[in-house]
This record gives sequence, C-alpha cells and structure tokens, in this order.
Amino acid sequence: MQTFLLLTMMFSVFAGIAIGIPVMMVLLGIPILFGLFGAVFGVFDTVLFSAIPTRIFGILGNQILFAVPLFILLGKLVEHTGLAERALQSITTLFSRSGKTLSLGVIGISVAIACSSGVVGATITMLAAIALPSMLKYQLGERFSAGLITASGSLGQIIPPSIVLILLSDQVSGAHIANQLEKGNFSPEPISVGHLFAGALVPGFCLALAYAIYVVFNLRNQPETSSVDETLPSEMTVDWFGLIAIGSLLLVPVSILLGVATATEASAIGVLVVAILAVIGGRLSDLRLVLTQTVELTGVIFGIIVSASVFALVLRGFNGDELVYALFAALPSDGMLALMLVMAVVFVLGFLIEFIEITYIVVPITAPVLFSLGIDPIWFAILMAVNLQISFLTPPMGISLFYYKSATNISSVDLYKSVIPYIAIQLFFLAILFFYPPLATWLPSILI
Amino acid sequence: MGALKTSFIVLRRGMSAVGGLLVILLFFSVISAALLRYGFSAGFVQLYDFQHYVFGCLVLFSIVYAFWKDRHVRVELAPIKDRTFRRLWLLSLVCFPVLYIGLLAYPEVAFSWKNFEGSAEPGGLGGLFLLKTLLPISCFVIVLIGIRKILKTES
Repeated sequence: MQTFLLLTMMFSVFAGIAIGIPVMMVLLGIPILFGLFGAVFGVFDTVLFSAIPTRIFGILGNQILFAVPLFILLGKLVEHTGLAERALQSITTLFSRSGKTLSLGVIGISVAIACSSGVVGATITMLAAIALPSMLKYQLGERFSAGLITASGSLGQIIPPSIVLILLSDQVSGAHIANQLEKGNFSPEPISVGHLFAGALVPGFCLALAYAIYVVFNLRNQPETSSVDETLPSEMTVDWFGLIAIGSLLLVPVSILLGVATATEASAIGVLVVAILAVIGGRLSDLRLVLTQTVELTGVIFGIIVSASVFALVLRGFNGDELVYALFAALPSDGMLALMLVMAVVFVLGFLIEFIEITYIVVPITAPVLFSLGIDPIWFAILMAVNLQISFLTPPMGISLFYYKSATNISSVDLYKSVIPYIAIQLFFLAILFFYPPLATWLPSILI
Repeated sequence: MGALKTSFIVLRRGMSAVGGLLVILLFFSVISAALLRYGFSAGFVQLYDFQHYVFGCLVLFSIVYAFWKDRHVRVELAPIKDRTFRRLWLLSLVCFPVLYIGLLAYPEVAFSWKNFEGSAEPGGLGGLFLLKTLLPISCFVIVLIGIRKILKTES
C-alpha cells in the first residue's frame, strides 16, 4: 500500500505539473494530501508534518541561499543599466569582420557576461537584437545563428557565478554532511559554493571552447572579408566603458574562487560595482522595475525550494529514500551505473521541467544514496550542473528557447533543430566528464 | 466589494514596496558587513542576525507576492484551462495545504513567543519570534489571496 501510494503520488505530481498547475502548488499540495490519505491507511505518520515549519525556518536562515536574491538583483541591474547591452554592441562592432569572427565574438561576450553576473535571458534577447542582424548579414543562416545565440547565452548557468550552482551547493552540501555523519565522521568538510564554482569553471570554459571549435569547423568555407570598412555599419562604435564595466565584474567570481569573499558578499559587492558604474555611466532605467522583478523571481525560486522540501519530507515518510537506495544498491559497478541512471533521468526531466525543480526533487532523493555508494559530491554536482545546462536547450520547455523565440520570428521547428548540434556537444561533454572526473574535481582541490 | 477591491490594490502596492525595501535592506546589510570585515576587520553578530531576519522576511514576502501576481512557474505541457478545475486546485492544493501549514506552525510560533525567542548567537539580536510569526501570517495571506482568486474566477 505504501509503495502504491508513493508511486501514485509521484505520478500525480508529474501529471499536475503537465496540466499547468503551478509547480510550487503541485509540490506543496499533492504530497500533503497524499500524506493525510496515507495516514488514514496507517502507512504514513503525520507527526512528520510537524517538521514542515522547522524546515521552512531552516530555509529562511540558510546562509548559502542569502546570495540568491542578491545575484538576481545583480543580473537585473546589469540588464537594466544597459551595461551588458553596451558590451554586446561593442563586441559585435569589434568582431564584425567576418561571419566566423562574429560568431566567436558572440561566444566570447557570452562567456564574459556569464563570468560577470550569470544573466541568461537578457544575454539571449540582447544577442538576438544586437548580434543577430549582423550574423544574418554574413549569411550565417537563421538556424545556425539561433543555435549559437541560445547555446552561448545559456553558458551563464554553468560558468560561475551562477544560481544553479548556488542551489546545487545548498542541496549537495546537506546530503554530503548527512552522509559523513552517518559514516561516523563528526567534523565533515563542508561543500561550499566556492567548491562548486571552482569545479564548474573548467567544464564551463571547455563547453565554450567546444562551441568555438564547432563554429570554426562549421564555417570553414565561409569567405573571410578583407576590409573592415566594408562590413562595419557606420553607426556602430566601440563602447569601451561597457566592455570595461562587464570586465570589472569579473571580480565577483574571482573573489569567490580565491576564497576572499563568500558568495553572498561577492554578490553584494557586484551590486555595488554595478550601481557605481550606473552612476558614472549615467543610466538606470527603472529601479522600481528592477526591485519588483527581483522580488518576483526570488518568490518563484523560493516557492519551489519551500514546496520541494515538503515534497522531499513526504517522500521520506513513504520510505521513498529506502526504495531508491534498494534500487541503486542492486545495480552493479559501485554507484557508477546508479549515477548514470540519475543523469539519464535528469536529462529526460530536463525536457519537461526547469532546473530548480529538478535540483530540489532529484538531488534530495538520490544524492545521499550516491554519496554513500562512494560518488564524489563535487563531481556529482558538476555533472548535474552540466546536465541541467542541457535542459536550457531541450524543447519544449528549454528556457533559453523561450527567450530567443520571444525576441525573434523564428519558427519553433527551426529553433528546435538549431540547438541539436549544441545538445550533442553538451551530451558528449557530459560523457567526457563522467569518465574523467578530474575535469570537475581538480581545480577545487588546488584552489580551496 | 469596491472597498475590498481598493484594499487589495493598496495591499499589493504596499507589498511591492515592502519587497523592494527588503531587497535594498538585504543588500545594505550584506555590503556593510563585508566592508566592515575587509576594511576594519570588524564584525557584529547583530548585523549578521539582521541579514538573517531581512532575508527571511524577503523570502516569505516574495513567495506571497509571486502567488498574488501569478508568477509561479507553470509548465503547461497539456494545460487544462477549465474554470472549475482551476477553482478545484486552488482550493485543494493551495488553500487547504497552506492553511494546514499555518496551523502546524502555531505550536512552534507560540513557544517562540513564550520565550521571546531571539538569535541563537550570544549577543545576537532579539525578535526571532517576530520572524517566525510571519510564517503563519504569510500562510493566512496566501489563503486569502487563494479565496479571492477562486471568487474572481467565478465572477
């Protein structure tokens, strides 16, 4: 009866999400109803529900998560002060020498913005507005341009600082400490946001490099334009202020990686730098809008965090964790097959739901079991981050696709086809990372 | 009904302003703690507690605000846009469970009030019981908004 209710609850959750009920309400409401239903049949102890307020108070005091609203604010400020736009405009101008150089410039500026604030949506819509016309002028094709812009713009979620990594560190750290305590280690080394930022750096840059190699290979027959004046529209000028402004924000990830500042401090310093630059540069279009959007997005993210913690609690009440453990322990090869299975599930879920839901549903269920089977927590987190990165591009729910579609007239079919090469690159890279963990674990081991 | 509508508009604007203010307060508390730490090698437990309280308030406020403005993430692979269905899930998946959580929080909040619970850190700020009280209040507001959404859908 217990397993039946558990499976029915899981099915109801996915069905509820699919039919358009807000994810937060599904993750909050359905588990509570099933818990009460289970209590009627004597297979669920409602005493567990009394832990819900304590869990929520725990989230309200979770210092790792303090950085989330500040990073959202930083991203919104970078977007609304026009700094990212100015940097993009400058890069487009500087690199408008041939289709190939422009494409490489798109990747380069995406990496720079990713390193400065991790903005995804704004990068994609701005690239579509600023770089796309020039890309089409070089006859790069609508489909090629769409794929490159969406894939490059999504790099903000893997290259630190990124909200995905902060949320993953929150979840992975908890699972790691619980696992260590269970093993009898009463002073475990915590997994910090810095560990994951360091771990994601090499994979993030490798992905960008892989995109660049693909672009160079794909455009090998593109004619090189000899004269700059021929290609550079007269109204386009290089705005060094915008470039320097975005460059100066590199101190945010660098300070975290060097252990000088915590993620929360670094995000606040980033906000301060952008505010100063906005005063010098003379533009902040609408502070009220920035704040309202920050509050809304904070609510969206924390709504899922709170509701997913209720979901995870009920799942445990139905002994879902034991079921997962039994399943994983039955698989051969010391957790590797189990990890592969988790990655496959995350990849499939990425087509349907967003990274926050996946992080807060999958990690609490699987991470403790995987860690007890000997999987390295940082490696697991970075594999998750790369896998979640793919979910930004996979239709129909890929967030980056929505952003690009909102800024252009491209057909859905063309857009979906455009990202196939980049999804293939990401999957290939995920496989490399799976079989070669030092790509993720080497830098944290020497930096932190 | 007009007075109710006006009061909801005032409440929404007030909440928007409070949310923005909380973001600014969080930023200033974090940046001042960071500057004090790096500039003067100084740190105040009260300041870190203040960050905690502001963050807690912001999280609860923002969840309520996002619900009010219908901003919570929907996937809509095969959406059902039926009014009765919307009323049904608002009642069963929002109003009832959130009210239940609000009631579940009551013992902990009452205990917190009884002791006028403050920070766990020695020398920290008092008033943690006020932050904890915001949880049942937020739940109550969400239920009210949910009822309003149900009624609005009906009309």
